[in-house]
Amino acid sequence: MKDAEGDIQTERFGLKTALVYLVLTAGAVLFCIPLFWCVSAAFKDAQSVFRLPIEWIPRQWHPENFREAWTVLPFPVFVINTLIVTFFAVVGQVLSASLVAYGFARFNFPGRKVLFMLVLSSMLLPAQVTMIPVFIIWQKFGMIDTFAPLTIPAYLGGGAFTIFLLRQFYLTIPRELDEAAMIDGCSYFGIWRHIILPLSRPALITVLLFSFMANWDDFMGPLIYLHSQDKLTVSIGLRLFQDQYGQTNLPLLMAASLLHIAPVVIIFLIGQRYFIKGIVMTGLKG
Amino acid sequence: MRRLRFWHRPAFWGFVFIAPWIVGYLCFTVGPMMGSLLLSFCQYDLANLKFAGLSNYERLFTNDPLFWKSLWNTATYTLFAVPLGLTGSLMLAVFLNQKVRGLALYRTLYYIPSLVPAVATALLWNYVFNANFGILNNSLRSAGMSNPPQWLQDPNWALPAFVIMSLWGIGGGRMIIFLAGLQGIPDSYYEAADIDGAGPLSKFRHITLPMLTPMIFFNMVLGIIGSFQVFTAAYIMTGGGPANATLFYVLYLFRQAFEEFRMGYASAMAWVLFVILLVCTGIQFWQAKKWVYYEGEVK
Amino acid sequence: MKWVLGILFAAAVAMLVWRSMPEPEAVGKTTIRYMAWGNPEQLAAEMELVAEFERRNPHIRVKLTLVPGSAYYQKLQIMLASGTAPDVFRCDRYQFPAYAHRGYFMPLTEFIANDPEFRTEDYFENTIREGSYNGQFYGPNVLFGSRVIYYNKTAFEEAGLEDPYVQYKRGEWTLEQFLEASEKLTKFDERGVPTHFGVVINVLDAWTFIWGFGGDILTPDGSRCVVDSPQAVEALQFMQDLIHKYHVTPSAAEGAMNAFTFESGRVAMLFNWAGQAPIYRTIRDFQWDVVPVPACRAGRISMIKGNQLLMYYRTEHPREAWEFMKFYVSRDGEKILCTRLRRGMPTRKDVASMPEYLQSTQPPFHNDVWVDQYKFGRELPITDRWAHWQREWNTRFELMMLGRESAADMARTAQANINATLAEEPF
Repeated sequence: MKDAEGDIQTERFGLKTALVYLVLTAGAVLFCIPLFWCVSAAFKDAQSVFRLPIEWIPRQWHPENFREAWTVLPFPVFVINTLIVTFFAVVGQVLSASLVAYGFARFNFPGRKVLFMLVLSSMLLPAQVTMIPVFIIWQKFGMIDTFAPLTIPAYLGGGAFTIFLLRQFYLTIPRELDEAAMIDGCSYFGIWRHIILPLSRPALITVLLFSFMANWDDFMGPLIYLHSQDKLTVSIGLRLFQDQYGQTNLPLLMAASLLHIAPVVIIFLIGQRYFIKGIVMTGLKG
Repeated sequence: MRRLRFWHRPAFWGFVFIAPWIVGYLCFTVGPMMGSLLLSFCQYDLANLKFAGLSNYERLFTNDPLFWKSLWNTATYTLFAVPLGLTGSLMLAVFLNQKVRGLALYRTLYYIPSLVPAVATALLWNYVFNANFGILNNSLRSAGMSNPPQWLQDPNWALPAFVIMSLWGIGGGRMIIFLAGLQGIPDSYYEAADIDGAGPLSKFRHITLPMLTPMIFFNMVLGIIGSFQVFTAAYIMTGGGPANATLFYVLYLFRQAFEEFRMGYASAMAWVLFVILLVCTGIQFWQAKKWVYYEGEVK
Repeated sequence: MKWVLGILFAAAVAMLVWRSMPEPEAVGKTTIRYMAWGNPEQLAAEMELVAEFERRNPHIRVKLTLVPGSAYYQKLQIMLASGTAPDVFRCDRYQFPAYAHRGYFMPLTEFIANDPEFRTEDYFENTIREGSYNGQFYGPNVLFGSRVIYYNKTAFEEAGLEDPYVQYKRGEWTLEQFLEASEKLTKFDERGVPTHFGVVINVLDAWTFIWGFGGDILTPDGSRCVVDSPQAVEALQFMQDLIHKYHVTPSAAEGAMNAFTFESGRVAMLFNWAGQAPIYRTIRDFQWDVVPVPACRAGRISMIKGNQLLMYYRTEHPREAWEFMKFYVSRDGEKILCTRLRRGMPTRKDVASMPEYLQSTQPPFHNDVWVDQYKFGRELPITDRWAHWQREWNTRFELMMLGRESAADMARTAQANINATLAEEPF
């Protein structure tokens, strides 16, 4: 409840608040249990992981699982590869999608509605349909076993979802700001750079996070396009792991999984400050 | 007024800005789409190309029980996962919009499961659902259930297992969108309702829900599209079993393309899926006029 | 914020440049690409073999590509389709006819004719036959072996049971003895939850049992399904009973996530291929060895199968590829693989009778089992339609083992459906 100045006052501690706390806490615990288990299992050894009743705190700690997971397959190489692909793809998506979304949000050109419908409709197409023809295209360009097929498409529009998201966001930025800038002699590109981009920081960060996750987790793409062992990414590496150790050494697989999960969570924790701030800011604006 | 040269016209610049997308769309979407449409009228096993007319479609609809089974599996999954997911995300957003301490921590905790990459999620939940040693059944047994379901090994419970797994992500992007929507509702509305003496449930029904309809619509459209394309989890966890209980449509398509070498047939399947989704989405948009309420012109 | 981004960008570019740098290809060498899948031990042996080959052929370099086993064929298919397949690659017997049918492989008949070092008589007949299709020879056989029973010697001793290998050597080790041992070796705790199982089987073992009872799943030419016979139904019923009547085998739920692995010591007997031996060699907690499949009413029949080493029909280096393939199945090559790695049976008759092979310092010590199983073994009727009917078979088998269908119903439905699949035009 906000008072007249718009400051947030803390609510009196009543039954309602207690209920909220209870539900939120219970729910949070429930949601995090699988992850707790994953962490706990990663520290056990292959036999005790199946012991009943479930040991949440391992009786014996085996932190060497992580070192083993890291070395038994060339994980460092996988991680570097994934980072490269992800970085370039994310940069491409963010830049490209924001340019395209700007075009759709601010300009009135013939066929705008139809083209935007096309953007949306491309979200409906299952990837499998275009997968083989696209692969053949890349092969004609001689780009198989490079990172190109995984990164270049990101620069050509950045994905329908991101365009959609950003366009919706841009539509909420008042046009008066654009007009004021134009009076000052700003070019369209300048408006994009100096007004739209800064104002859409929370949306951009959202897009960045989504894009990072999508690229970090991409499985089908690397599987099809990357052949040399020194070019594989983490998701393929994890699958390799499952094949070789998933049946015999569950803790090792869990440790490897955590290595796969960790960077995303870390990036999110760093970025969520902007993220949440952005949400709150949007709230106050309304 | 000076005659505007075409590169001064806003429309031109509109095209310039969307040019990257146009190029990408032609090269990576339209071209391949047409290619796969043509393929769907052929038999192609990556070595031999043979024109086959409508036989792929014919076979699909009249002679392929797994086609219907996979469609049924996917539709059932969608029917449960989407509404449950939407409701869950919405409720969660409402709770996370309250003034309590540690809000940022709570939001983060709920969001993290949706961050876990799909491959890792599948591996993790494979264990959670383990009938003997998994957390789920052990909790159920501790709670008194003597014969908890066998989940991924039971044809009747495998699909529900996937629905449950999908709910792990309700604290994710969907919820953030609802949260943003909730925070966009002006307090003045609630204050006016208070003056009229409305209770919390009434406020929810008459203010919150209507104001959130754009977000509900957005999440619903994307949710249906997404759950029709579920693949990775089934691929990694069950491979479509037991006894085709989790054979989702895209998994079956994938199999036809990469394990049975039936590229033409798989392309036909892909186009059928495309048409289904197109029709579904079209219906949703058409119906949207009746129940989605936009404050101010957005579309 | 800006300079953080700048640093990140510079780092990414640096990593990209480093990764994209072409590997220092030695001047004057021909590089051939070799692709395979395998567990780490297998791969280690392959690398050893590659190193030895490169040592003997300094002008050739072999670049080994590792692909996750579960996605191997998908990747291979795409590579074959787009013309980027490696020069030499391994293919499982299951997929070999289907790919050969599509003309992906270079026929080796001419290579053999012109090369005195490679003689088909040196090899066991099956191994050559497996690698042939439509009269042409395409693939030397590698990773050859049969499906055998790995058994936990310590468990048998502790239960006071006679060692099955001793029984086998005596001419026994029958199905009844097998069942008896399984029952005695299955243990439950106070809650009735199983802690140890007698035996673990899987869908492939249906062949062994069905053959053993006198029936068959497909005709030997692989053209028709004949599983709906009283003998086959009896065999299937026996398999179903292992789970639901005798409770000596874990059900699908109990066995999920390999909760009962052989290495854990919770399973006394396990049917598996020869390739598992190197993995089990890491077991320290108990002693183990191998014994042939039990003798059933109509005989003791095991499955024998290998993989094929194949040359891509569009390779640019056929000579070098042939040299590598030849070395792989040469006497010295097989010595590295079969005596150092010890996984199953060599394809060469001379290596199979070498004392270095037959006697080992590590388990399994019963290496005559592999050779024996070859004598009474049978090939699987794999044709280019294998993958197509397997799905239906696996589904029906799964349902039966879940207890949802009786063996008789399963056999009847399976036969009808599989014959329908086999009869239709491949499309």
